[in-house]
Amino acid sequence: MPPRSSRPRGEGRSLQHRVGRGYGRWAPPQPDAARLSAEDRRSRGGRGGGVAPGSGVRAGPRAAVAAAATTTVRAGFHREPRSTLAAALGAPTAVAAPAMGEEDYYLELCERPVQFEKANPVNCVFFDEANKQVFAVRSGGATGVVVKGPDDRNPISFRMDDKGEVKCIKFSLENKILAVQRTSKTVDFCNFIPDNSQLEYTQECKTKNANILGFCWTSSTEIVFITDQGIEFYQVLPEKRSLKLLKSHNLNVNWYMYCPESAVILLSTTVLENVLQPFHFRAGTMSKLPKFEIELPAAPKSTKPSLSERDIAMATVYGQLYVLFLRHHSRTSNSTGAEVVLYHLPREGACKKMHILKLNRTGKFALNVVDNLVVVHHQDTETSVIFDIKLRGEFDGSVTFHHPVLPARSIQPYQIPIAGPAAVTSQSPVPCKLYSSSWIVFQPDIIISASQGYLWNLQVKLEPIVNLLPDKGRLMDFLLQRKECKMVILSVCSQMLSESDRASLPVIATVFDKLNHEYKKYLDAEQSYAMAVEAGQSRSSPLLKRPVRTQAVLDQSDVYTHVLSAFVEKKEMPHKFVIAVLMEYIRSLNQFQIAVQHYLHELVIKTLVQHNLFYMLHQFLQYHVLSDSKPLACLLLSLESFYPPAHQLSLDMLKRLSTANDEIVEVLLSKHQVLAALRFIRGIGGHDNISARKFLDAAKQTEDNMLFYTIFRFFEQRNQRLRGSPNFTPGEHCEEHVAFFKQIFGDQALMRPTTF
Amino acid sequence: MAVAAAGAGSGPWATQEKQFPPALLSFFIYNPRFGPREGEEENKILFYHPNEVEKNEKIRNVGLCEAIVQFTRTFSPSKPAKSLHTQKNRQFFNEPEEHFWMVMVVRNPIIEKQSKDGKPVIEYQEEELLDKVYSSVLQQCYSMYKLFNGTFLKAMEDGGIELLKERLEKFFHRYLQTLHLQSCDLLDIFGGISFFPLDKMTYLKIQSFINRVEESLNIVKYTAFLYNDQLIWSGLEQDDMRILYKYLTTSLFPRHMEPELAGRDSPIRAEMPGNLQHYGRFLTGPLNLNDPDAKCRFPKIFVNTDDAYEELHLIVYKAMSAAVCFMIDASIQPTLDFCRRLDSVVGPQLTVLASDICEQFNINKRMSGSEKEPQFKFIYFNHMNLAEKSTVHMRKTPSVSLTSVHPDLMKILGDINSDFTRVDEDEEIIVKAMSDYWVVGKKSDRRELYVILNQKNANLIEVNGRSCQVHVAVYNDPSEHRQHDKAFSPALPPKWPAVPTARGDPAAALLTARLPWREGTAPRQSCPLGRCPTCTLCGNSVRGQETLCNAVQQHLLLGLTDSSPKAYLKDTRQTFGHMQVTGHMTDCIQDKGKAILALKNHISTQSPDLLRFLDFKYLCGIN
Repeated sequence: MPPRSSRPRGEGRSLQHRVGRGYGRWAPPQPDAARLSAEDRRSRGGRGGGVAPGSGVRAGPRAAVAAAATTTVRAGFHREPRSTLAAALGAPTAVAAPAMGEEDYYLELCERPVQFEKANPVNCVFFDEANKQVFAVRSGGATGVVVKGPDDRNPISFRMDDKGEVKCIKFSLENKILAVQRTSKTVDFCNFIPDNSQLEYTQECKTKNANILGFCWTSSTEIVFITDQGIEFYQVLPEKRSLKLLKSHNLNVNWYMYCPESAVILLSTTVLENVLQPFHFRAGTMSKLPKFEIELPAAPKSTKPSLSERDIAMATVYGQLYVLFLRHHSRTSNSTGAEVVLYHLPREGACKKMHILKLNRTGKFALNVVDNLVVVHHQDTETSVIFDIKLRGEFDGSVTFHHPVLPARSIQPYQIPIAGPAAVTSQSPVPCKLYSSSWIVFQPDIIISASQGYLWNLQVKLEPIVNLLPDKGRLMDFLLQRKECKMVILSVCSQMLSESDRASLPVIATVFDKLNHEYKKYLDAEQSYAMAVEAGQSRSSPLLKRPVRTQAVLDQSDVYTHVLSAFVEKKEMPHKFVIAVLMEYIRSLNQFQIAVQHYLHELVIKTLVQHNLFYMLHQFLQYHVLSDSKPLACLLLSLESFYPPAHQLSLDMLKRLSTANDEIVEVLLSKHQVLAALRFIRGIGGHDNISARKFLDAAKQTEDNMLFYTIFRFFEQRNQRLRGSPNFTPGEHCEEHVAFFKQIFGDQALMRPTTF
Repeated sequence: MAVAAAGAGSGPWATQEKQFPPALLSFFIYNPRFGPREGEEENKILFYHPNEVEKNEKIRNVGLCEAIVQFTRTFSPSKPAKSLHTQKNRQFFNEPEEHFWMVMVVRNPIIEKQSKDGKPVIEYQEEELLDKVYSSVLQQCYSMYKLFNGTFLKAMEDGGIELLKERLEKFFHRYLQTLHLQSCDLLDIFGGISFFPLDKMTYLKIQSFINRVEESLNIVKYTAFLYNDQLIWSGLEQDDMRILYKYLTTSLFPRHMEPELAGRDSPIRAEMPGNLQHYGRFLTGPLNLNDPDAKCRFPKIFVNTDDAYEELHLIVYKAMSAAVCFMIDASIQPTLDFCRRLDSVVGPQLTVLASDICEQFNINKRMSGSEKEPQFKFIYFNHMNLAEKSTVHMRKTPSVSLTSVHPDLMKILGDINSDFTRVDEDEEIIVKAMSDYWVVGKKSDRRELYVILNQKNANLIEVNGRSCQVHVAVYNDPSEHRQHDKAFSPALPPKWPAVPTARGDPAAALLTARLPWREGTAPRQSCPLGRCPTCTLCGNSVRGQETLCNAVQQHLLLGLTDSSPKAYLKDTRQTFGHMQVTGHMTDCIQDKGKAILALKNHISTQSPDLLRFLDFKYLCGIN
């Protein structure tokens, strides 16, 4: 075990040593000690702390601010729990920033933050990353503990005995069991399950002489203790009020980090602290993943390099767990600024360096992950940049280099109402200091201002990005990966087809291709799911899930309803452009082998007809660009008076459909092409079932006696063949025609029954 | 020359008689309004061919025509005489614009027989010529004139009679030499357009290409796209496209075949800049874009003369087998800069597109699969979209129009067509011709189909059945083809007699390989007509080349490189990864001696006149 005493400890600096872990703070470049503020120095001093014996509970206000820089934020303050609740639920605490330049801000703090009691000497504030809960512990719990989560607006409040300074307090998942660490050796538990004893019980860490650095709940009844000598994995038995050691592992630990989403704990080992050992927890098992080393930047000889906890974060990006390392600008190397290195931590296999995000600046940074975007806040300039690792970057064979997707912008200004016990609605809101040094960030998207008593979720606003990213292809790639993208994408599509902002056809084509690529992926997934269900695999394979339709799936009806139908209506659009756009969309659909819906075809036809472009229409039909369908054939038929060849096109289409034989006969009869109709129906073998009357009517209307004779004779022969007699049956209602025939050709012309 | 042309069509049937095909005797244009008074008759004549004819005879001939038309008008005021039959010749009258008359006098074909005493006896074949064919030729003369010069009336408005005369002289002097009256037939009546069969996706790609080019070169008003001399897209209206298509396929493209076939050292080739990025080049306009003095003159064409009367520059640009016509308003003079821009925008895209089409076409052909040869010949025409196809004609160029059937059969086809014109109803005509040939004509729903069958001892019912299959095959869509194919195959007689089939006649195979099954649609499924025969150029071993033209181009590409043939092949594969360069191509390169032999054999059997353009030694890199 390396001599930990070599590091600055919290001893003798009673206000800071309670600082648990410093990674959430602004991470300054390490060698640049001169730039550290007093607070920074304090909080750095507390790095790796949480083990030092607690001393004064009653810390000064400055200490509270400093303490806020840690996971275990604590301070003391008296206030009625209800007032906190009222502030949280009451008037919307966030007021939109002034309109000026608002379009430019693409990051914002959520409108309804979690509000809690400010950290102060008597009120200690803690944050639990697993449940995203803020604990406000007053007087060690004796005067009350208020727990607030982002989702539950009803805070949990309870009291507990003040048995000493609380170092760390966390609920297990589903708020079943409360764990409180008060000493460096033990953790106390208290059941919150109804019907279970609420008496506290205590667990001491197994390893002798070890100090507990902290603990993490991995399920509702499983907990991990991290000590400076290893980790211990316990199962809590609330009924027995005891814990059972499931597994433990010994190694020297400098600091640890927990990612609740993936249930992975990362332990820092070795003197340089840069060898990271991940552990994965799942349903009572603890598995050790391959350890890996973070390459530290070259540092001047005078300072000893080491990996600071605050420079590391863990987050899930696009479903994969990454370890994010903020590598500061090193003076010795000629790099242009700090960068974030993303190490991919797979479920199986070794951790691999995958992405490097170039920040191109130096100073103090903080990281968030929002909607699969890596957000890097820069305190010095009070701006943030975002990175999307799915966007194309420069690949050097092993690592992909990324640059910020967008120019750096501040988070949208945020205003809070004047806080205080006597807060009145009439009081005008005051702007909130952004990028404050008292901010603490947690993964994935949480920003806490302990001094103000707010917890925000960071959000990405997509609308402003539309104008900030001129490359439409890249914009689409970006938007399609976002959660709430549908309406924004549709507005981008409408915009690029508008008169003022018209994009060129290749750009439009790229956008359509990207949309349809997503659409096709979904359709394929849906299809294979349907096939699997049909094959009865659904029961055997629990992994089989119905594909989720994300907002990025924009189908034809979406594009038709929101984009194309309005676009086609625009009078000022040159029709050439309109048709080109429609064809481009149809081409794109075809390219992805998506069946084109008939309303799109109708839109094309409508546009062509409006501009008398019948020959174009003819050519499209000739090459089957507009797929056959009955509605389309009928539409064509209606165009015959404007464009005679439409008749032939329509009939051909009906013939090809092969389900529209009745329609064909009707069309032919309406054109007085009685023979043609008869030939057609005979050709498909349906002439035994047709109505003689219908054909005789049509033949009579032509006033062509010879034609009438031919048709009449045909049916006589049919009667003969089917019934052995040429006479019509009364059911056929042909008496009128028989009379007509006799009148013209005479009785003797009627066919005589042949006898065999 | 006349004998040679006739021989091509009638070789197998030639007798000891000497035959002289029909020939143009005279061609004149007049307007009776221009010299109504006696003594001023000469003023009526706007154009007269042959010009050498003595003035009085010109006046006499024009006067005669005028009289005949006037005379017949008394019987049929709305439809005056269209033609006049005499023993020696036939005259055709056409009034394309009010009071402007065009007259064409064609000499009847002659048979020179040896009488018993050895003296030659000349016999005029008065009934050989078909009115409809030559009336159509005459109408085409006008359409072609109008395409390049606008209407007569427009010329009168622009510069009076003198300008009109000048234009007529300039145009018809050359044009009449390209009339090949001996090889006019049914296809001249139709004046149809051959559409290239294509799958939907490739077609949409072409659409997309055209739209993009029209957007980036915004002065382009209309675009037409052709592949392999077959139309794929026309932005022009049907009637204008019809005549432009005729010009492109019978005049412009054949003229430009030659530089493509020429070796690099040839004088024609030398004018063309070696462009390594793409194979695009201008067929009209500047030959060399790098030459700052290059003239950017494009032919002018006149379209929509009935209403908008648009005057346009015709830019024809070609890359491999794909040709695009860009039409821009005549008021805008295209500059060299514009041409360079067009070249840089269109050239690379079109090169890729051309190889895409080629590849897709071959895939479709392979999917249609069958090697079965067509066992009959047919001509198909659809009045609605002017789609035509023919397995009868082997090549359509201004100089030769080869048909693979006897002229008598062609005449029967013409007769049937004339019968069809008389009635509007759908009908069907079956003709028993000489030596076991049957000709079936069908007309239905504004479509016409003519089938030539050859079957020993066939009876009417059999012929009817067979032609029904053809009918079904040609009319129906690909999805139905398959069913019918199955349904009808057993009915085919085991041994189908030898109409010169594609196997037997390589040139025919080549030609039929280029003919689409349906107007403009891909033969996705097999076609009962005998399917699309694959190219026999290299015994099916060359893939990615569907026509002789392409094959020659492939080989010529060799000639364009300075690198070794092997390195070149590698490059070609890289550039055209999707174009399969295999089989024969590789053989050619690996075995130079063999390559010469193979190539020579192919070319010489298929088209002797292509042979002389090829510098084999150069192509194959052998000294």
